[in-house]
Amino acid sequence: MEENRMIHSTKSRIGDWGFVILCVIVAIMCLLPMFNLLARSLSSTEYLIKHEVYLLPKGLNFEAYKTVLKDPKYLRSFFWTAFLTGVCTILSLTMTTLCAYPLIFEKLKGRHFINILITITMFFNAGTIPNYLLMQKLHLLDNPLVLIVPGCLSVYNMIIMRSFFYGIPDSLRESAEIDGASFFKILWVIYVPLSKPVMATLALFYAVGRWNGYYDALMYMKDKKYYPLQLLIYNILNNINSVEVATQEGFSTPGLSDSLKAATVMFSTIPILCIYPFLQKYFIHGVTLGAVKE
Amino acid sequence: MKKKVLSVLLACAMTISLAACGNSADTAAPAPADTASETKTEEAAPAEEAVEESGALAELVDGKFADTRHITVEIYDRNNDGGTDPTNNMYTDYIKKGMLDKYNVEVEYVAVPRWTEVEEINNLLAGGTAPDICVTYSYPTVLTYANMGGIVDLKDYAEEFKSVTPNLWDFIGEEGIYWDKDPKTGSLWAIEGRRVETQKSVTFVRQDWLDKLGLKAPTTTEEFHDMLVAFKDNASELLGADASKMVPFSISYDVGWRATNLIASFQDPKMTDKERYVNGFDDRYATQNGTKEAVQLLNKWYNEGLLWKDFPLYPSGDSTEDDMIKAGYVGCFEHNWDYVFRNGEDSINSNLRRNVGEDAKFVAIDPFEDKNGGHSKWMYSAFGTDRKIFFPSTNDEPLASFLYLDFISSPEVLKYLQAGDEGVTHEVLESGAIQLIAATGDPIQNSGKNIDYTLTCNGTWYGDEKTAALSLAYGYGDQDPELVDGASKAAQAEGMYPKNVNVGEISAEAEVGDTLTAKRDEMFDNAVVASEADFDSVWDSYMADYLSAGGQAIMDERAEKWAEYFGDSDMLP
Repeated sequence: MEENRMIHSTKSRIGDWGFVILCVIVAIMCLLPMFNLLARSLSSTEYLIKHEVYLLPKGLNFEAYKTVLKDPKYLRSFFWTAFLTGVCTILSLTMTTLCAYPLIFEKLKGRHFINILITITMFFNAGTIPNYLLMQKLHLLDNPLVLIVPGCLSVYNMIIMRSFFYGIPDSLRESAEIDGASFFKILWVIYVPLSKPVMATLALFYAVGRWNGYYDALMYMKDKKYYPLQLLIYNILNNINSVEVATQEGFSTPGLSDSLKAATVMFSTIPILCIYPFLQKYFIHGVTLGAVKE
Repeated sequence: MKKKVLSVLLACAMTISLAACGNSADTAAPAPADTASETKTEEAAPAEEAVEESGALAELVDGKFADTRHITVEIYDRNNDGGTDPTNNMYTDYIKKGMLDKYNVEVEYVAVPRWTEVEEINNLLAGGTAPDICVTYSYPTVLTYANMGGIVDLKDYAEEFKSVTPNLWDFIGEEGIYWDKDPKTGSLWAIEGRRVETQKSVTFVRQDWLDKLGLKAPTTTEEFHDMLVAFKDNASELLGADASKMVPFSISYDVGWRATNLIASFQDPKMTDKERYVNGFDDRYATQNGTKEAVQLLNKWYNEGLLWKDFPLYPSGDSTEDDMIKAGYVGCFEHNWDYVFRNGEDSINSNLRRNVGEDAKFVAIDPFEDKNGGHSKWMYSAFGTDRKIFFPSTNDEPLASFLYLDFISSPEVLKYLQAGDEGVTHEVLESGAIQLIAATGDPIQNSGKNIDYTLTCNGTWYGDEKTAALSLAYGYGDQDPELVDGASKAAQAEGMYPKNVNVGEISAEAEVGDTLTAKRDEMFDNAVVASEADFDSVWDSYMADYLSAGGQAIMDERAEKWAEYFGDSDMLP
């Protein structure tokens, strides 16, 4: 009873309020562009040209969304990207777990060296041309696997998972070993069920990364069937915005109207926004995972 | 102790992997290039034999190859909404059929995304899978790979195949074919495409505003200034409730481009070729004599409230200025000669008709007069500004490739690629002019005037100069042909063409291009918005920075090279 009525000094109360206000301001700064985008996607062109649309749509119409949903290109890309995200997330989680698990055993020979080697790959990247040549040699160009395999393991995420596994007491593992459980059985029966928070966090990281990713498709994928949604948007925005190109070439490609642009961007952002609330509680827990040492 | 050893080992491992990574990017490219140069020398040997006994040409029987040859050609993929597959449509079918019938050459197209064309070409060249005929807007890319031995030297082939490529020589001419020829070694790494529409920039003004205020179109810079003042003072009459949004003269962050005719009018029309060349690295004339005075005039106008207040705030590609123009708030601006006519229904003039009124339109005027009272202005050079066509060293069929270039430069083919079928994509008017009809479905052209297919031609041509000149006005959908014609003539009036000064590579220009461009834009923007008293100090300080960042080095090297090739003379031979 007494604990609930903590004494708040005026100073700490001002500090609290200051912090709250700061957070609210940052939250508003993040939300306003989204509201503006939503309003633009629902407005009619005349108001958009006069730049009179701010937070509320003017000349409300759903034409832009109708066009997007009717165009088979967007829908196909949407389902392909959703499928890709699902497959990549599951594959990535599997690979990450399988990579992190052996690294927690002290008796693994060369464990220190392997850890260092893996960390080095996180910092250094060969560059565009060597990567392209590698994909070419592996016959992954224009192959849908190029969107799945090369990016399936992120070392950063693997380190998060490894840190989490460190946090699980050895005694659990040892007692299972005494009972005769094998290496993989321990992983499957003990570690994985305990790792639900970190799995959800990493699933979110991987899913968002794959959903928003377009660079690998830009470089390695020519077949339009397999374009992720973000690459479609990249092309649309480039076709309109390239003023230098237009000057060079002496013409400009007729672009999509502003509301259609906004509708396409909303179309690609909304699905991720919908998934996020379900994984939110794990996300907050997961970000601080590596910070606390036992 | 163990930790110390380990940390030393780790440091070594990192240094080695860094060095390896640093080298691998270079070794990866030259590795295929080394093998490429080996095959090139192997090819060069039989090619030399071929020159001696005219073997390559002897392969042609009745102008055709005896056995079917196969070439791949690069085609830009713009991924534009409603476009067709660039490797497979009505136009590719026409070209493939034509090439097969005429020369027994099979053509296959390789799509390259337009927006990442330089990286993509780098990747393809490094991987050895580049198409036989490649195209790029970036000459430095060609030079880089030429220096590594990855590109076929065309100097002998061009002469050797001259007899079987009459259309190419006719259309591009000796000037264009040898435009990029290295003056010392004679190597020719790329052939320039020809820009047939050399009109550059023109000043547009609202004809309906002039009529409302009873003003004539200005013919001197003074009259132009008075017109802007009149727009500003009568804002409430012209715009009613939106008077506060009045923008008499609109400009963008790229001041040099958007005031190019004004700047040209401050340059001495009798400037020597040497002065033009040495100071002319920047395509917005930053270091040219006369530019400072032009920008000072803009600064004066800015401080009088005649320019768009917010122009430096919006980056390239931002549509705010265009939207403002389409909504009807802008009185006057300078841009590409056909800017208000582009994009059909979404063109500026069409938008004005819809948003403001039937008689609202922009017409072209020619106000800025130079020292001699003339209206000289710059045009695009026919060569050097368009695409460069080159053959990677993996090209085994130089003759077939040249025949392809000849085929797409021939009048009938150019006409078909640009105009399509009569009745479907164009109509022929009484005067002989060709008027385009908006295409739907397969005949859609993915690029304006189908330039992606007409590699050697950029602009309305239709096979000959006369038809092109007549038809230019009809190439813009439902735009008034008289207005288009007026703009075209205004852009060409007293036009000056840049001359080609071929002194080889200027090493000081390599790598500093982007930095200097950014500094130049900053310099112009800050100079225009400064207060009138501060203009000199602002301009001078930014100019000093520009020169020390590489501008001076370029001018010095250009002067040196000029002296080397042209001695004391001030003009080109």
